[in-house]
Amino acid sequence: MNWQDFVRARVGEITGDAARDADIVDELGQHLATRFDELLGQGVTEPRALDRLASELRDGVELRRAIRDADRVRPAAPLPPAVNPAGLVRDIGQDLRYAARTLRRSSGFAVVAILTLALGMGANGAVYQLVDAIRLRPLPVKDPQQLVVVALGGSGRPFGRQGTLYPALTNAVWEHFRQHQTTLRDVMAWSPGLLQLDDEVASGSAQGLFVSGEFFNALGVAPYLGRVFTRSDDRSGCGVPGVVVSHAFWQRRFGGDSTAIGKTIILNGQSVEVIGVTPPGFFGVEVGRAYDVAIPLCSHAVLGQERDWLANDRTWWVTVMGRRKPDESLEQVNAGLQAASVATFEATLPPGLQPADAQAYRKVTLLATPGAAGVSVLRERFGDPLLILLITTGLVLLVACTNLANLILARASAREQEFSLRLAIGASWSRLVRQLMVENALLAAAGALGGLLLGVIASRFLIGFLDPGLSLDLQVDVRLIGFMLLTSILTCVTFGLIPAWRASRVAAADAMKASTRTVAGGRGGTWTRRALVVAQVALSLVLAFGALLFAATLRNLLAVEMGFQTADVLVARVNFSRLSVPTDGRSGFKRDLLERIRSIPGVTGAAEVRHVPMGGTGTTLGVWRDGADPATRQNLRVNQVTEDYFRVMGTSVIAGRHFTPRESAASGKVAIVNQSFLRRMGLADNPLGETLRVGDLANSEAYEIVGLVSDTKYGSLRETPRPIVFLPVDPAGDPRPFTDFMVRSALPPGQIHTAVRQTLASRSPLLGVDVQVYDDTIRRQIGPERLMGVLSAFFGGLSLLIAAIGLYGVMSYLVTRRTNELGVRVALGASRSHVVGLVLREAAVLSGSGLALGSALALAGAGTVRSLVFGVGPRDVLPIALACMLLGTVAVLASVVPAWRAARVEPLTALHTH
Amino acid sequence: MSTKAFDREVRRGSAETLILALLEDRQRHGYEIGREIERRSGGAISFQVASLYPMLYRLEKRGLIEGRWVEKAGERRKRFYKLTADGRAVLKRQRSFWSEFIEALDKVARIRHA
Repeated sequence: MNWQDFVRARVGEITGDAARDADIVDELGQHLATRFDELLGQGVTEPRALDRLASELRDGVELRRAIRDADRVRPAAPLPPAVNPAGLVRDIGQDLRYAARTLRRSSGFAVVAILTLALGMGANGAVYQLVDAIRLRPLPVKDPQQLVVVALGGSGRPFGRQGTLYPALTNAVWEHFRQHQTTLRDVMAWSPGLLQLDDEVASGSAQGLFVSGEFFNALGVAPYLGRVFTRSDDRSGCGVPGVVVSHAFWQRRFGGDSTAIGKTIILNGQSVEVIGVTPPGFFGVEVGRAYDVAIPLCSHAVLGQERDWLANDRTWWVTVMGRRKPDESLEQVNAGLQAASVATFEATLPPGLQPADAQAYRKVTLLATPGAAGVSVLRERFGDPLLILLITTGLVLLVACTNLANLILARASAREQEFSLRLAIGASWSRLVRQLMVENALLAAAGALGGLLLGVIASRFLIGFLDPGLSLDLQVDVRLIGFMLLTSILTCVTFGLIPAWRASRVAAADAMKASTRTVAGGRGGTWTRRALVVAQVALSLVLAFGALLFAATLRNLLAVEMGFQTADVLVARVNFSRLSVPTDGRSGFKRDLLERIRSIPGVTGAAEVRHVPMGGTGTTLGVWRDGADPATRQNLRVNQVTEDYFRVMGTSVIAGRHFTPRESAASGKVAIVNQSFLRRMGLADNPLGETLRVGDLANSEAYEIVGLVSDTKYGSLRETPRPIVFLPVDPAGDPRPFTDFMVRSALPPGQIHTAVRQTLASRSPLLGVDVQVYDDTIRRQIGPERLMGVLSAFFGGLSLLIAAIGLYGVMSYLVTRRTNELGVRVALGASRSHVVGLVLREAAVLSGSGLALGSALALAGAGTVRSLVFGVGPRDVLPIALACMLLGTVAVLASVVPAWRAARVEPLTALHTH
Repeated sequence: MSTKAFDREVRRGSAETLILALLEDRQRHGYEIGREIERRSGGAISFQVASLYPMLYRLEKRGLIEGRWVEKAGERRKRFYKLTADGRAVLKRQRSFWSEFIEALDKVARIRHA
């Protein structure tokens, strides 16, 4: 008997592959042969045995189809240890296509998920851009990591005046240091200053940068056009040898014309030749303030606002930077600087110092700090708030991720049976996890792309928040893209891993059991979801708490009693540097301006002031009671004002009188003090008639106290009241070619603004005039608090909303899962209110756990924001209690609908869902 | 997934488990596999040629078993099947699935007869 023929006759052609068919026929034939022998051995007759075999072979057609089907089966995915890279790429490609199809099928889910992620990532991207620009990014110069800032170590300047916002030396110290130092490879110095630009093309102010001759070369900035300064440009008595302009200024002023070199611009009334343009991207060394024009340091004697600074050895105004030798550490540099300090400060000791001051001066040492990221006032003011905001936006993203995880979990649980079956019949768990993760990665990538766009837009908006005049280089660069990539990977892992892990861990039998009950997933899934909601509520509480703290801070600062009325007040800064007003004519000149302002209809008062309160400047002088031991003198704040000042500011005069116009004009030797002054100096309630000495020992003058005013703020809203001595303005003793006028009007500031500017400008076209609404000045001062208050409130609200959606989703889900149980309860006689109670109790347990966890987290993290809050303690009970109440209310609202739905469960319907 | 598809998957899953289990300790040819299943189940389960070989080809295609021709002197060549590493892992998982499933059935059955 040829069994192969027997098979072939019944099955025919099988796969179309002759060799394969031959193998199959051979194998089946052998089987039949063995079986035939076995049957005969059992005593079956041959014909009956043949019949049996034919019937066991069944219909050949069916067998053929079964074998063909089997041949079409796809090989199972490789198991984890046996990963084949080429196969992996192919599988991921398949997964990607599959994921795209799946997401397209559930487009509602995809849109919500991508939008949530884009919002969360956009917020992170926007804040990161600012953090990067302000805190992290190195200067766009050669080898920035070698740069150091050389400043005074220890307790800082021993005496004298600070002429810049940055760490600084006097010009004498800089000159000596430059000539004698050997520690650093390159050294340079600079100081910022606002200049008046005025010529036939443009007028307005220009950001000036006074630089030492080696500035550009030391930074490794080559000219884009023309040349940059060298040592030979920066020599004592240089006049104004030329100006190097920034690329942006060159574009703005010269329209990018390459013939600009050799042309002149007019700065502070002086005609200056343009000798070079710096490359695009170079903005100086000050982050947040890009320079327009650079002038040699020696030109400060001609163009500076206070022209005596070069020769003044008590004004600290030159910021010195240097370049470390490549093989030297910062410690080695500092050891070298410390050794060199003795000679430097001995050689530059200002003459005529008191022994104590001289001793303090000799003890000063120089200290180098890292300068790779340049210097920045913004960093001081906004660095910490921005970091906290970055954490805040990170938390918002985390809340969004937990929500998304819940959504995905819901989707995944609907697919649990599919997964469990695939696992049971041979799919690998890594394949399932990978498929889910590819889906998540697709979502995250789409979210990141949207987030990048949103972030780029939002960061511009944020800059407006910090300071509209800010110049920050916000570019979409590899750092931002790297950050977004990292964020999206973290995001993807955060929201995707839990559902994927859950899905892969589903015990197949569990899922089968679930299939006989509901389609909504196992008990484990429910617990995971509950945990996610608890986490969401906790995180949202932290954010709500932060929002309340910062909102309270903002409110407290806005409500601070400043001691004066800022509404309806303007500040007019007048720059008369181009008018060449002689010193003895300044008093009359300013009087004339003041009278012009007073004559404007609507103006109710105007006064000149040396330091606009909270305008960022101030003077501190030694003050002691006449006749007392000069050693008792204290360094107190001093301001100089004209007769109407307190009326204009709305500061109440408690005792005595205002200055008279005559005293104001002739710098009378009279003083008005505030209440804190009395307390500090131990004076009686009525100090009138007392005489003060103001100045230093060698050079002091006596002033009679003629008035007492209430306490006012001087430098910042956060400060506690400090002693202030007000003196009449002193035109002869004020070398500044500009001054400020405070103007009060009966009309809204917006209306009077133009009139003030025009009136002043009409005095002379050469007069530089800048009029600001005083409230804006104050508002700028609390920029960080506004930033924190408004944005943290926004993000807090956003996370509340997300948490509410999450809680609603989970409560609805739990109610659906318990429909049977609730139906049975109702059938057995439970009242509707009892059912509502059941659901609300569950919600209360979830949100209560979240609130407890969140409170602990919030209180633990509260210490980090101590320096940013005002008038509210970071560990106060009230904010945390309020945040809990707020979130609790939201939780109840989010649970009401599911509870109401539960109460309407019809017993019969519920049972039918079985 | 519909009930019908589910039944089919379960039935196929159980048959596959039996085959994989038989190949766990040594390689066998098709006829021997069929015989051994029948013997071990006391005749309760029997595979016939029409269902056994498509199943073997399917498992082979999925990489869970591997078949090869072996020729011995004086005998016709025979096709022997052995378990692959993937097959071993799948068998392990199927064992736990069936043990839980059977336990569940058992529990339900006892409740019904109580």
